[in-house]
Amino acid sequence: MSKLRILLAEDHETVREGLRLIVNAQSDMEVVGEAGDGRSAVASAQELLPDIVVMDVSMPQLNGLKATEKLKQVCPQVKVLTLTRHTDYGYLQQLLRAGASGYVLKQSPPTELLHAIRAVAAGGKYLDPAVAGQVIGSYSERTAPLRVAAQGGRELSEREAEVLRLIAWGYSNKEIAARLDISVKTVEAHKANAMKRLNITSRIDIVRFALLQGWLQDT
Amino acid sequence: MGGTSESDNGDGAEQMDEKTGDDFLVVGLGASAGGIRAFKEFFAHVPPESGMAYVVILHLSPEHESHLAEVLQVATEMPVTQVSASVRIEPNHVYVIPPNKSLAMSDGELSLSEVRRIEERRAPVDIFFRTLAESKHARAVCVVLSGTGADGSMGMKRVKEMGGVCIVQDPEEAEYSDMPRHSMATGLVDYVLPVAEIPRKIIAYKERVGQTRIHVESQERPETDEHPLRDIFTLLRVRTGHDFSNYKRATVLRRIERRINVHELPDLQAYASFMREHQREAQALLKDLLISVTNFFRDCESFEALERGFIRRLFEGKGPGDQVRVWVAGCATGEEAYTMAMLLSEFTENLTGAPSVQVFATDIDERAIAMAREGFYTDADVADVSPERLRRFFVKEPNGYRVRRDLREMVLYAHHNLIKDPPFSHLDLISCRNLLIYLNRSAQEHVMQVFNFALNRRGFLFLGTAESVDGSTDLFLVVDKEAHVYQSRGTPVRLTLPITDLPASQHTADLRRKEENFQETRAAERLSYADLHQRLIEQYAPPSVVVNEEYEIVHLSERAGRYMQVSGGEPSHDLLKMVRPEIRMELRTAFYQAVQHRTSVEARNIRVEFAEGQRLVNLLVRPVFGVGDDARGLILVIFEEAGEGGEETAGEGVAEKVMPAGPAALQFEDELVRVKAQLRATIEQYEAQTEELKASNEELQAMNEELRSTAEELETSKEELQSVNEELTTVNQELKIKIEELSQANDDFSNLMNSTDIGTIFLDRSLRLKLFTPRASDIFNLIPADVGRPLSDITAHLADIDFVADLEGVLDRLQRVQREVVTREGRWYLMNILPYRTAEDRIEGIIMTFLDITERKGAEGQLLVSEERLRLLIESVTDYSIIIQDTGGRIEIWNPGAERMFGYTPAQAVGQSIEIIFTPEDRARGAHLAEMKTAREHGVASDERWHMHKDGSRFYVSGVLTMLRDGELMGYAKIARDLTKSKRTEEELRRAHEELEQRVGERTRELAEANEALRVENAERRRIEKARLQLLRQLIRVQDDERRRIARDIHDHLGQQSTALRLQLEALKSICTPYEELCDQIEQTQTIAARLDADVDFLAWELRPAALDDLGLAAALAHFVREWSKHYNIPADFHGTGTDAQRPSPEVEINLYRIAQEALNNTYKHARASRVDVLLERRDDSVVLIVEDQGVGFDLNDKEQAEGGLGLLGMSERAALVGGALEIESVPGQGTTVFARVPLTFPEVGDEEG
Repeated sequence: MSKLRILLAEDHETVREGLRLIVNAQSDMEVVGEAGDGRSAVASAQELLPDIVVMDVSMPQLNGLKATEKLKQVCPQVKVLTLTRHTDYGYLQQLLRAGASGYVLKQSPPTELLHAIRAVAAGGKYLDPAVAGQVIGSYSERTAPLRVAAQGGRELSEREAEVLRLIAWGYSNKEIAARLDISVKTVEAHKANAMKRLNITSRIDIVRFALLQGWLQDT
Repeated sequence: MGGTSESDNGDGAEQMDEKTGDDFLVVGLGASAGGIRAFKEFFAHVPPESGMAYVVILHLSPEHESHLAEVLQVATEMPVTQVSASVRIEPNHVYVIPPNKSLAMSDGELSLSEVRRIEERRAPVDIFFRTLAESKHARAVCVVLSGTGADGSMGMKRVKEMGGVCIVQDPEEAEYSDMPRHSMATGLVDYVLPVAEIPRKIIAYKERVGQTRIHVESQERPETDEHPLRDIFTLLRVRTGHDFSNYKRATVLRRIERRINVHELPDLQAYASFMREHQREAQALLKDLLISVTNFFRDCESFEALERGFIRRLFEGKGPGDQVRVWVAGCATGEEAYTMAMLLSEFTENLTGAPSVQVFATDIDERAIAMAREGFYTDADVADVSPERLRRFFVKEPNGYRVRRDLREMVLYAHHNLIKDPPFSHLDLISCRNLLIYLNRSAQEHVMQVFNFALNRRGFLFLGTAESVDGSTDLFLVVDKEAHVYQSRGTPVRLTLPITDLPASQHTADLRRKEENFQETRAAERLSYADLHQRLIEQYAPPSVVVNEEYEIVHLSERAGRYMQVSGGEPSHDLLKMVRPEIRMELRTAFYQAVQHRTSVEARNIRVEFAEGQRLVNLLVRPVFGVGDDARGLILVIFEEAGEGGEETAGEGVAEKVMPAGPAALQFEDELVRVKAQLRATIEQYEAQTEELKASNEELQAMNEELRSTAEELETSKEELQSVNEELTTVNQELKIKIEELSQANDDFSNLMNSTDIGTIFLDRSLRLKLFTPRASDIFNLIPADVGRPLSDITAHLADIDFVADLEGVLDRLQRVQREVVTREGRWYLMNILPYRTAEDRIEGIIMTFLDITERKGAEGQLLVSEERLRLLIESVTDYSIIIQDTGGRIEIWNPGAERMFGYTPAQAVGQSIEIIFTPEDRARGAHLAEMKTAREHGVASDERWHMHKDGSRFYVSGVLTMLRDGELMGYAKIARDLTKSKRTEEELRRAHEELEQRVGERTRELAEANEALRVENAERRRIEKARLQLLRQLIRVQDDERRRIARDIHDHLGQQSTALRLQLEALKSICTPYEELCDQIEQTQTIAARLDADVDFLAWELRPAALDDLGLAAALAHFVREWSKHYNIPADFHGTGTDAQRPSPEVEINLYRIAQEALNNTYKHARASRVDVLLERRDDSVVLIVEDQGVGFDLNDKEQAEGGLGLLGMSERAALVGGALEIESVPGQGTTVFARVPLTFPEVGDEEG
């Protein structure tokens, strides 16, 4: 059984060395090349055609994200595993979209990386458990009750709907009161009644409800 | 006469043209609405060198300038001119009518004249066409194009009459088809064509005209023309029943020539065959031949002369029972007949006991008669009728005028052929104008005889300008040569009624045969007498005489004169009178015997004293009785001389013997003498009787004559009756329509009756019910069966009223009674009783009407109450004076207020002039009058002036004078208020006000100064504030930049180092696996390194999250909110919209990020929130950040809490730094919401100064 061929793309030399040590210490994988910036990473990968490129995100010349995009264009068969310090869900989302097969945090224990390499080599995807929770959270945004609420929209009085729409547009109660020529108290009452009727509890729910109603499109 | 008429019907055309050389065609084009397009189209098809002149007549607005010439110039190469002065017309030119003028043509010149009458404005085309026709005759072409109205149709008739051509635009094509259709209705149009084809047709006509010439005199006519001409006449007679052989040849030929040109045929021959093939051509030619052009008052001088001199004479010696009878022969479409009727009607109007007037109008053209009966004329037709007559005798209808009924009824129209039909009789006037000119001489003479018969003795004949009675001067004498009025001499004439017209071509042949027969018989007659005589002479040589049954001499032989003796007295053919007296008695006896016995009789030895001596004469009378003998009925008398007197001649046969004288005979002789004497006496007696008989015979003949005349008259009356009958049919039709109208009116009436709210009852003279409306049953118990019952029998709901007495009163006095009555139910009605008057003004009963006035009654009551209230009000007012004046300013009402104000009691004031309250100066100026005038003009006049009290003191009064009107001016009301006191107060007030104003002014000045100082200070402050903000902004920017730098350093270096450290440790650990102790140490170190790593990470993030720069505000905030929620264990949620598409500037992003951080920190610190929502929304060019918690909230009025404790000030400042604003909403117990609204981008520091 041949060893997994790994290309390390990491601008920080000490880190790169540490990584090489750990990877080469494994019996089933070996480091076949190393790159200090994004551009040479792409070039090396094109030349060496490794099984996996372990790609840092913050790199000079071409950052990890761009390098991943480029690499996936020229050599789609080479798999990319992102290794980064960024815990933001936004980075993860962008890298996955660019074609990365895995996302591992540098803050996690080094064994995570080895698990990830193996998982990706087997054709799967690997997400660091520290960020996986975020992904699940973003999918489980509480939309279910809102769908019910959206259907209740037609029970709203015209005024209540008007108030909710303006809230969703980001107006304060005072501004809404001025616009509709009613008192702030009345705005608050309408808002409270409407939310009760829709069984929603927060401003974000109102915005989501408005999106479902199509209220936010006509601006 | 022939010569004068020539010029009237087109023969003169050629002469004139040759004379002046203007032999080109002139085309008159007439149009109204839609004309310009048609003109353009027309000229587009006219070649530039057509050799014709064109005159364009368009109905133009009199107010506007016309650009027609310019418009048409575009369509043609010919020069187009608007006629502005008299101009000589030239070929290949186009002339255009100017606005508000009428165009006429004479002697090759176009001339302008002002439009004087409205009728002329309506008919410029007619006016031009007429002059064109009279000027150019056969070389006139008139074209009628699109337009409304009937203009052109009249002028077209004249063009046609003069031999020109009439062309009309196809009405299907014309934009407005009225004008073409009216023209077509005249039946005179030669061509109906689309505009584009008209010019070609005109050119074709131009080439034909003048080429076909038929010579009038038959000897000049080539042989080839003779036959077709006969054919044409025959066809005309067969197909139309009209014989034109009596018409004047020249005229007829001219018309035929025209038809040949119109059809573009080469010659007469071709026309004859064309006519044979085209059934309708005969009608068209007939129409051309009968062309009847009449106007109202044609040749008005003649009519004026007639009106002045002769109309009165028609009425001379006629009383109310008599009739003035006038015959208009050849009346065409009736204009002349109506003209005549108008003149007669105008004359009888001023006459008391006027005789009735009957106008007979006849024409050969049935279509024309139908139009005349209709009595409808277009505007153009009536252009010659004066406006007064138009009003009197015509009714305006759409498109024209209709003859009024009374005028129409004066005229009897009949279809009548002057030449073959029996005439009317006992006429006072015959008008026969422009008809004789069409007839040849013999027909004219016949017509004159007819007229002579028809006219009363001394009756008048009125002829056309080109006609006279030449050739019949024995019948008529001239009374006015100018006006062509003639008078019958009253010569009795045997009227030879013409032979009935046979409607077949063999008619002439018949006629000819008859004629020949007659000639033959006459010749034969002459021949047979001679023959007979000859034959007799052969037998008996002696002189002889042939007499008829009356013994009148028919023929004498040469020597028979010897036995005749002409005596005195009336010459006679009677042989008995002519013969010598000696023979007479014997002859008479012989005649008697001969006729009696139907045999020859001989008388012998009659002694006759001749000049040479006495002779004996034998007499033979021989009558002819042989049947079939030509000489039947004639008697031959032969004289035979026997010898000297006394000589005996022995006679033989049957003859009687005369005895010789002897002695015994003497006695006989005496007796004979006596007997002879007796006989002579007897004979004389007999002769006298014969004379008498003859006289009565003559009388009988006269009677017979009379009877014959009467029969003719009857024939005439029959004609009249037929006309009357026709009239009756017309009247019957009208009556039918009237009946329909009546039944309609009846329906309307019954609907009205049923629908009206006014109860109405009709009663007859004996107060019995005739009719009532449904509402009448509200007052009376009426049912339909009550009709016919006396009204008094019927129960009325009326309370206490003797309406029967009222009814009788109305019948007695014939005056209406009106009263208000009340029913028992309390409803009020206005009862009206009036007599029922028929159209003949007889009183046939009574009408009662009941109008429900209950509501009005109620209103009246209310009115009374309010009037009373008003009166009380006026009375009670004391602060105001209320004065009511009459129209002259005299005081009528004077209320207590006025009494108090002016000092006069009502008794003193009422009746006085309003003057009394005015000051003497105002009185002198007439102020009170001026005031009334203003009130009259504007309804109200208000003023403030000084007035005078009774005691002479003056006071200031504000007053309003109002006009009182109820349809008309009733008076004035003056309402006045004493202002003296308020005037003073006002004065004080004004002073105080002025003072105040002065003070306010001063104060305002001070304030303005202070304001200016404040403004300066304020500006300074703002400047400082701005500078401060800029400073702060810079500071924060520097701080942020620094933080970013440090965060990046930590992240990039410290973070990488620690990662490297951890990787080394991991590697180390795998090496040190055998040394367990060492491994534990390494693992501990690894844990520490990991925590360090996390700390470093958090530090960098807190300083400045890399995501903010790399991923944007929304991503950074989402992460921050999640981390915050995890960190503090408070549920929090983020939602962002719109910032992905357009990111705010970095400075805005960081500031909003910091505001969110600050807000969330506050929430954690103060809110004790159960949940937090963070929203980021971009709308257009601004972005709003909302942080809303569901915490305890706080009171926004608590300044300390709001500003100090909550660090809100910092947030506000950050918002302000990037040009935004912060808003906080919070209610204790209901959470807090922070709104940060900032522009998407904010100019860099220092930009504003630039």
